Amino acid sequence: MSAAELGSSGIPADAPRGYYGPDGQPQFFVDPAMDRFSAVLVKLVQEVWVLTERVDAIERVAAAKGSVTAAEVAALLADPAVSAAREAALAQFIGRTLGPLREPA
Amino acid sequence: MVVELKHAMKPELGAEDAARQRFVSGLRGFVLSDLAGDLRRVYDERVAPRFESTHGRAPADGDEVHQAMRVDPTFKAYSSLRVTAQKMVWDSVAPVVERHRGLLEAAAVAGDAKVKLDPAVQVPRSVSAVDVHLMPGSYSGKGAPEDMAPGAVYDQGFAVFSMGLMGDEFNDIGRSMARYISRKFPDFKPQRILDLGCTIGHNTLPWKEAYPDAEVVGADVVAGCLRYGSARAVSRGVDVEFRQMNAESIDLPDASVDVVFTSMFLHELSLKSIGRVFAEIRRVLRPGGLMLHMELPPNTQMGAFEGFYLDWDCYYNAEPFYKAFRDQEPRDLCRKAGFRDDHYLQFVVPSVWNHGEAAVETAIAAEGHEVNKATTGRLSHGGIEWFGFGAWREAQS
Repeated sequence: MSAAELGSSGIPADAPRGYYGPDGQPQFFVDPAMDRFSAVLVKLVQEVWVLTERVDAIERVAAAKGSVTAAEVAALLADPAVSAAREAALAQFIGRTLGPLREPA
Repeated sequence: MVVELKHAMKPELGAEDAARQRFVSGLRGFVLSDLAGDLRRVYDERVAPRFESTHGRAPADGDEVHQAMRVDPTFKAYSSLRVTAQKMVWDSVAPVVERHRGLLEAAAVAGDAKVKLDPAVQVPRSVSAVDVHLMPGSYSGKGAPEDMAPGAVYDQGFAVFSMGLMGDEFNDIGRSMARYISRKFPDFKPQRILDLGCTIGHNTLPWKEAYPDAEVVGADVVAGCLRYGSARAVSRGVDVEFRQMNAESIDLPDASVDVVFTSMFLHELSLKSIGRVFAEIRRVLRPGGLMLHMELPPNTQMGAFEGFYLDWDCYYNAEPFYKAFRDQEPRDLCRKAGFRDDHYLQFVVPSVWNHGEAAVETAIAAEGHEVNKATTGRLSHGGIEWFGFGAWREAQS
């Protein structure tokens, strides 16, 4: 298989070049730097979610026993009721933080 | 939701790993259900009417829809988030895999007995030169050929990527296909089943469960994925053999296989390669045997928007052959390989995991295999159906 047939960086050989920035990455915004900042924003939202789960764990354990151990925090992962509550909270969290990306109703 | 692995190589997740993975899975749900729904709405309400007023006609194909959509803010939001979410799938599992290398090698002690590696098999550039699905290092990874880590990244990535929609062992495609064939053709009793491009064998194992008396072989070019897949199968107690071979040169005698199956494989090959693979499949099939491919549905049988929606992956998800394959008429591919036109088969089967086993029987009874639906070949919370096509090898050659 030739390099031309494959295209570079997994891009189909006949794809319009305007679909990609100068770095060969997909470009969706007018300025390709915006595509990078968009990824940073989503990663930041992810890390806020990580903190949210950790605080939730501390609060739950603290409420139950008045103290927190690493094992108690880890044990919450195996609790289906905690998982279900976190899934529901996550859906609301994503709607709240990323909602502006949606098409207005 | 993130699926919990059910075998010996299940990792121990830290609290932050679990939270990161849960976020990525939720993010994908937001993109593939909510933003994807918005995408269709802005197309109907804004993009298509504008195109029609400019051109005096509707967009003719997926390319025209794509170009018209690219300027829309909803397309930009959907696409940017989808690329980011895809990269974050792998980011959320790679550090976990690195911490569990010892666990992988321990599981391989049992699994390696059922793997036949062939050091002469070269990993083709379509695998090694592209970060397929934006997986860093692709299926083969950047380490030694036998390194199981890429298989573990793929498996653990599925747990995040699939949002719980592809089964608790990511075997929904194999289960749905095997269920359809075994119920639709109850007199067909294959003795040897070959799954080409099986990676970690997630869709290979259901064939052994559907046909317990058959010898089932999973084949792939990547040694590490086969080792991981075999360790996974042994841990699950499923008797399947894994063999390293290239689908363009199948290491089996003529007329020695009853079913040759592939899933989500052809769209990762060039058209030239597909021709060579079909010729090999035809060679190894016994008279009366079945070639069966689970794939993305073809553009020739879908509307312009649906075609555009699926072809997005070709441009932005490092799957460079995807659209060229989807532009083919599957029946023609089979005919060109020498299969008789009246031996062609094609169907759309409901996902067993999402719709239940009885839905397959209902689909068989109804024989309504409409391809052009928003549920065909798409992963979303609104229902899932899989597209299958192939051909029977004639009884007398």
